Amino acid sequence: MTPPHDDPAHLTRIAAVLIGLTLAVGGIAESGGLASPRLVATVALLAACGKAWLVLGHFMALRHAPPVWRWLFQGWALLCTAGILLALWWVPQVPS
Amino acid sequence: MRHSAILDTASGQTGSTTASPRLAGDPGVWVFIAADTGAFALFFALFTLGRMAQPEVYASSARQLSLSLGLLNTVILLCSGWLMALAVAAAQRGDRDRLQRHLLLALLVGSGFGLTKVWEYAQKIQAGITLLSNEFFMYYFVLTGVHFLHFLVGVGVLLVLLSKARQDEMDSRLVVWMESGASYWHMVDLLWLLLFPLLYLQR
Repeated sequence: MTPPHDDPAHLTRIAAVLIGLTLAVGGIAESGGLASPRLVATVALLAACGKAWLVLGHFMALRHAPPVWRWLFQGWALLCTAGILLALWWVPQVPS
Repeated sequence: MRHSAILDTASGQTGSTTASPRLAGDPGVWVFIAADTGAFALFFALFTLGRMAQPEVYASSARQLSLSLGLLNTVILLCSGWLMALAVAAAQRGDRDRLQRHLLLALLVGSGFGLTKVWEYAQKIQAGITLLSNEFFMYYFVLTGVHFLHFLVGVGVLLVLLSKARQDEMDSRLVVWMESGASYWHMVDLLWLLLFPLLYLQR
């Protein structure tokens, strides 16, 4: 038997987490709740990576796929985020 | 049970009792998605290198983008992706009514992204900001423009899927169509998830 597709209630819970994370990051960015814009960008990028993993695993059903496909796409999200973050912290903070 | 029957036929497996790993949809679509996300990774790298060379220009330009519109577009794509995932689940259960309803809603909600993006482009152009304004805006228009083209193709894919959901037999071939189209639509969402903080939030 093939892996069952995620049931609708599970997909709805994942969507709620995704939207919740987006709104939380938006709230932090709009309010300037963190000390520096660089910290805001860091939190947003880490949240984006987490959201990408959730979309890949649950909406695109990669958690039911052969491991090599999972590693390829989750690795892509991780590598992109790590590269952007490294560059963000490499250059001095720009005064806003 | 109809659900199991459609799933088993879609994967070409019958009679086995253990769940084996399975890629959703046509593997060719996944090869395309891998190539496309790889190309975007290259775009991200070029943008990041540009930002390292001119951090002040990039930060001040990013502050001219509307955070609210970027957030709204993220929420729109996530909602549309969720509806698409529900449509695939309905196809796998053999539930044509829910499949059609969720597909139509995914299309309608997703279309909001196009409207918001056109509104945002119009605002920028009215303010005298174009592709030639500076390097940041060159990347902004190229990256979001290429992504927008992907979005438009995705809308076309959803229209084809909607037509198939109305006319085709509810069988394993239809499930493969739905899974393949959904994977493409989720890729549009996935790319935006990284584009948003890259362009809008590095201020």
